[in-house]
Amino acid sequence: MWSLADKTLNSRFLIGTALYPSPAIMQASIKASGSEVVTVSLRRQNAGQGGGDDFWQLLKSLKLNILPNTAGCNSVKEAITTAQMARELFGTNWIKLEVVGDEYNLQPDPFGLLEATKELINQGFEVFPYCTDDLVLCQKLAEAGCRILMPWGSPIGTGKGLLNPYALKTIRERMPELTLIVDAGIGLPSHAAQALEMGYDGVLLNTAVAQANDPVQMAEAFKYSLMAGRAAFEAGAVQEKNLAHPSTPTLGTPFWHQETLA
Amino acid sequence: MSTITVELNGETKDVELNLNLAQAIIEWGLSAQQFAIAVNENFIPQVQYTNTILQSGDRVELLVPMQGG
Repeated sequence: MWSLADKTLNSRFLIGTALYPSPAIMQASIKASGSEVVTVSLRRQNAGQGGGDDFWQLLKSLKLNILPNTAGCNSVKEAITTAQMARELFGTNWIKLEVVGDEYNLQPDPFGLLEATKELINQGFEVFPYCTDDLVLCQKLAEAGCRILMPWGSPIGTGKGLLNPYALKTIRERMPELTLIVDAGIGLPSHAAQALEMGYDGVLLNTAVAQANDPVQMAEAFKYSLMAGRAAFEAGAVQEKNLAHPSTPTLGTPFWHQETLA
Repeated sequence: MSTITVELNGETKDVELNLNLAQAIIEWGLSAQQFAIAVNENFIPQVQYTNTILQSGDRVELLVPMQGG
């Protein structure tokens, strides 16, 4: 059990609803994941693109916590307006805040993100900022009122895992009181486990499950890796060393003779 | 009856002069859906639909729930 904003959850898995081969597979994957938080977006209705009422009904039937995103917003204004629309549409003050800084790596614009965060916190939102792994940015987001931070592992959809574990560990160590979730770039269950072994509170991913050959099985694999990562963190893992230390006792080693002095 | 031209989700639409948003939504056949609206990049809460009169050149965004990561 852990706290995310004002909710108590069992699962540390936050999962996206996009890119699945079908609505049925999306539903089965989310079930298999054990996740209690799903991300969604707002878009213009487009015939054949999915979404709309059918998606809305399916979403409601899952009875999970909804985390709307501001994906695709290129400016502070767009992000704020989208968040306000999301609050009315989905009936939640939770918002995964994305302010896109670059169209190729889709990284957050840290400056726009901070500005939008301040305004949305003022308007009573619970902001889940999708941010880079920059410590100072994270500190400023926390100062602005964020209880939750979501630094990237690597760019969205790349599956590269945790590209800068040093930076992520630094954020964890320097901000022990924040809820930290690695969001973006996760590809394998081992990446998710790595995040939780470091003490991160959860992981948010979409592509790694939705685009796997078997999304349902992959969702389950991630469920187990998140459980393993958290259990390992709580168990207190051994420290990395440079020199070898034998595990087998050296006392009583056979075939050993004291060297005679010449 | 005079009409004005507005944009709905990037497409030009002709609407009656002095139509409010609530009326426009009905006219566009969209009232049964779950959506949120912004006009000229500003969020318009549902309670203000009847108070919001469309002006010529207004850019209306009518967004629905969609998959997302």
